[in-house]
Amino acid sequence: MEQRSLTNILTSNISKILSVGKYTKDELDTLIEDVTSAERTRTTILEKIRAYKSIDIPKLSTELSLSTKRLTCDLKFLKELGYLNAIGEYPRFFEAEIEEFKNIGLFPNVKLIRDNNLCCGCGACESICPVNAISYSKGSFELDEEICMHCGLCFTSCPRSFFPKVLDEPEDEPTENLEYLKEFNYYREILTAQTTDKKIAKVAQDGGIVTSLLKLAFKEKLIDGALVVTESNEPLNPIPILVNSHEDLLKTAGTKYTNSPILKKLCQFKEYKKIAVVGTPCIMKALRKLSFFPLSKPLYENIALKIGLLCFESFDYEKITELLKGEFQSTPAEIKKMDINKGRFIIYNHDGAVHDIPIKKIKKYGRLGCFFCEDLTAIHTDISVGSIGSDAGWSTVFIRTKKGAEFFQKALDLNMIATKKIEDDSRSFSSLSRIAENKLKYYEEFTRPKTIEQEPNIRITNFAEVSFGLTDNMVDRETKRCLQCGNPLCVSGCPVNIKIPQFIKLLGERKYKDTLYKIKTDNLLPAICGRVCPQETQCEQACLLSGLGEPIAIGQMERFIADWERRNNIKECPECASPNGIKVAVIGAGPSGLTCAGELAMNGYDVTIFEAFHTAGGVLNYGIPQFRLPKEIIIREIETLEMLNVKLKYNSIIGKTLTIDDLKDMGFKAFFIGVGAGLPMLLKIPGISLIGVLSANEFLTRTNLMKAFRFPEYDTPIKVGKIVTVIGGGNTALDSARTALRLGAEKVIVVYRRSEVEMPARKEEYHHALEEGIEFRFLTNPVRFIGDENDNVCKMEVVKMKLGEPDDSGRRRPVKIEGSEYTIDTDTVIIGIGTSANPILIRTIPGLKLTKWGYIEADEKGQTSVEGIFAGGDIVSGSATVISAMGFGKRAAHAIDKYLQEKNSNKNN
Amino acid sequence: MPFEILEKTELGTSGTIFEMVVKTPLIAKKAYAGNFVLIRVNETGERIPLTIADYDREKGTITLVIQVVGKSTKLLCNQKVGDKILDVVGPLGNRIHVEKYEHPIVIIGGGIGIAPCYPQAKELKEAGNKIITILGARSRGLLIWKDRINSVSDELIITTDDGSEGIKGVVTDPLKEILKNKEISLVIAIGPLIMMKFVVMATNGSEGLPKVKTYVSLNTIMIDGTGMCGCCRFSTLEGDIKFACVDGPDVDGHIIDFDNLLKRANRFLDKEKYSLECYDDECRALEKYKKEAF
Repeated sequence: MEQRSLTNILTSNISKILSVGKYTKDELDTLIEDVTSAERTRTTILEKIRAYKSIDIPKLSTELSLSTKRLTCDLKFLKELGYLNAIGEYPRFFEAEIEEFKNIGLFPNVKLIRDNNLCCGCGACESICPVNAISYSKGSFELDEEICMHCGLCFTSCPRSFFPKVLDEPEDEPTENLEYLKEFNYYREILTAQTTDKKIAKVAQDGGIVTSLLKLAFKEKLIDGALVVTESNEPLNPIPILVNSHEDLLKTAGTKYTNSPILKKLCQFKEYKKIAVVGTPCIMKALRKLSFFPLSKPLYENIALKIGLLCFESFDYEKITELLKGEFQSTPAEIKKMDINKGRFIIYNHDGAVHDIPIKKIKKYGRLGCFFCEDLTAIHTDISVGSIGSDAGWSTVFIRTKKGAEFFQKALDLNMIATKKIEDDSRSFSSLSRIAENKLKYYEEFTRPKTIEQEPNIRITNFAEVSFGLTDNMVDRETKRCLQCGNPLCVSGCPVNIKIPQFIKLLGERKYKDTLYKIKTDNLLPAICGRVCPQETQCEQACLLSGLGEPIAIGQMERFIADWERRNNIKECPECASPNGIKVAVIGAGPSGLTCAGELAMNGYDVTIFEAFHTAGGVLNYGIPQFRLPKEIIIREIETLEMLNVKLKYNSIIGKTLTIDDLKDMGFKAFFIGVGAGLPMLLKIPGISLIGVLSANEFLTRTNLMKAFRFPEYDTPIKVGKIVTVIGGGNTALDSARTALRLGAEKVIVVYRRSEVEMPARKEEYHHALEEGIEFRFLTNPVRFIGDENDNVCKMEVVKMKLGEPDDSGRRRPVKIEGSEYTIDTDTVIIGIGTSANPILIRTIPGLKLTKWGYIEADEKGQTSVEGIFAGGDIVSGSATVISAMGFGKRAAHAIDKYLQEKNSNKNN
Repeated sequence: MPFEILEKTELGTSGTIFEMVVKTPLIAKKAYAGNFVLIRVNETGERIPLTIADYDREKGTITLVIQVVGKSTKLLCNQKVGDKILDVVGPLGNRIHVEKYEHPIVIIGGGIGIAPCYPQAKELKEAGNKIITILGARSRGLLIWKDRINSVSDELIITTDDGSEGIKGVVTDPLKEILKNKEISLVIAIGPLIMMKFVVMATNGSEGLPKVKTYVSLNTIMIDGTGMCGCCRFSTLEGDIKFACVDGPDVDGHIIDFDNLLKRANRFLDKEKYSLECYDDECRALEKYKKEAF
């Protein structure tokens, strides 16, 4: 870091900055001086570290005459910029995003924080931005890229970008008289207090402590201004304001605070000498960070008093409105006060009515950024105040600093405040402690567990499962990482809406049976889904932590508990409604059919699944290889269905063996078609009929369903040559490639016409394939297959492609590069470019509307154009994922239930 | 639910051809000429297609005629009356097109292909057609179902390679004679690929004989039989790809690329041979064990 990036940017933008008017010439000069000196210090630190190839804090501290705290903060700064990667200290997140900034030694802007739902809404970034590129309103901010000069100051000052742990240590030295509890951090005393000022008591929310203390501070000239919030014309949507007398202050007392970005005002009060700031823990944390990174001295040097407000979680105005409407059928205008007490969220109306609901019901309205917060009691303050833990009309007070203690004592001496001690063994203390503990997070970066896997060189010689999953200790640790956020995005990311946070919580408590029960209510096939779902594009992508690059390992935990069930021969099965005797036929025992059947059975229906093959599972069985999904697992999960009294009829091809009309005659009242998209697409190019050219469907069906990998013990043969080429980039193609390797191919080449990023296969599978030595030729498309004199394929001519304009799928269309043809020697070609609808059943149903591609036309609930016939999975959507098919099956089951209920009630009327 | 073998009869005198009546009520109800079933004898078995040679809707049975050629057919033929076949699925494929044609229909059956000629002849005759049947076998001992076929034919001609019964020669010899002398509406050929190829050559107009629409019945290697795997695919002379299981098994013989199909049919030959050897070893070991044990 020999450069002086920030200095350079500021220097070259002096006129721009001055024209904005936030900084005077003198202030800017000071800022640049400070920044330069800080950058110089960090350069020196970095040089030393590079020379010593390690971080020795005491040594560095002495050599550079820096305090340990200062040094630690600078190290954190360097680490987050990616400068310490070489010694194994990696930035917390945004590795990909930070890459481009790293080279120039600057942080990106705070859009990254906002876009990853990390923003706590303090507004500090708006104040710090020298060129006013950021404007905060309505719970979020906009950043004008045109104005932004990419200095990264906003990111540096943001309490959510990174926060040196060392700043949680007490501000006071020495540290005597300090108490410490993990959930409260450092404090001197905890009290419950009440104002003695009747005027204040009348308007205050609780004990009137904040107003009393500020009144005293004004009186004693300890402050000349106070940054607080006041009512706006919208109730419950307070706005920041700076008051400069205790008379004005009184007008703001009792303001019901929701999230308010008060620090955005900070930059406007530089002319004040001593101000007090009142705010939530996140505001206080932002101030603490600002105080240590001397980037904008005028912004914090005049802060004389920090009063924190206890906060469980805060709500954006829109969300509060939603909450009141959704849970209380009320509006902000009706509310006098909101409170949390004894596990309940309470509202007090102006008309005197009081209503309450359990806290857990309000969690989903919380601000996403709040779910990262673990500070209930505002640890970075002089004094913190809040209602939690005190009786009505009283406030709980944490005295934290020496300054705070002296000041509070003055208020007592002047009889402005009455107090009672909160003893460590009191009920108040324990409830306060419990609530605070609940907010603690055990999330750590870089701790997402890696699954235990067979070594690549060993696993390519067998068909045993590649991954062994997680151990119970790994699972224990992982459950603790979950933020248990109130608005679990993971659940909406899951096509069958498994109650993920709840099951993780139960898993963390080692209540394994309850965990299973919780999962199986929504998903009867957890061992399968835990293995084959693309969690990285579903639940785990939605996880709040995925912004930090390491979402919770939801899939692995689902698999873990399902494996535990199987290993221990336990069969957990959700409760069913009592049988209603109504017969429903499910056609196809693949993912959508199995799910639909399970769901209907749980609702009391008499379900029969008709399956064309001799075994259930559909694509799970014939498509997905043993090494990804052992077939025993499918058998076991299907046993759960049998426990629900679902009947399975194998060797039954509906449309051939039986027709829908036959089934109607047999008494079936509704039908679900989940027959998948089974027809293989073949390339229409010369040589397709050569021997050794086959569809991935054939290759995989032979191996998986017919167990050709155990030939001659199993009678179905399979042939694999020395050099196998696989055409396609989806899971089917990769499954074929990896299967070919295990069947003895010396070399396997995957040929895909688009590039690596467009590949639809699961990342995990691609990664495994690479590990196993499979060669990938991207942007390559076959032109023709060339055979020998016996019509055996021996070569494949391919052409190189480049990416053109985006096509219907939004991916860039591959375009042939003329004249770039060449040949690849190969003796087996497997075509895995996709599948289409099988017409066998659907053409036997009169009136069934199809799409132009031959799939069944159905709405999102699965209703087709024929009454009583529902459909889902690939036969509706075209090739998709196992879990999306399951989602379809589940929705269709609900639609079938509704249809049959309505039909029955019509009959009865 | 496994499928019981109700009857088993050896056909001819070669000791390799058997007729089996299998209880399959649902399939029997829906079966027609042209349909086939896929069977898997036991858990480790492969799925093999067998044409439905007859069906009895009342009794709920279908009749299969099997010749031992490899492990799977041998395994099946080793099953006794009362044994159960693990999986029988069908009826698959398209039933043949049945209508009253203007002129007679020639139905040609070769070897094991004679059996499936029976339901076709029967259904076409019931539709009012005049049926001329030509049956061909290597020798008399391999000739099957002569009387049964006769019962649904207006004229029956037999050829054997060695002359042990009927005309000495191949099925195309009498076919060509018929084509020279009579107007024929349709030719149906079921038998070895090479036989069907020669029939097609005789009827496609390339040999100076009148061109006659010809259906051949493809008995390719299959797995699912529903169009899923593409294992049974064949190429037309124009290079299009068709699937025997869903586009057939009875298809217009004139469009088929027989040379390619002949090669494809043998693609697992070495494996099939090995599999049979293993099975024979196993059977011998079992025999020996039985002898020693009792």
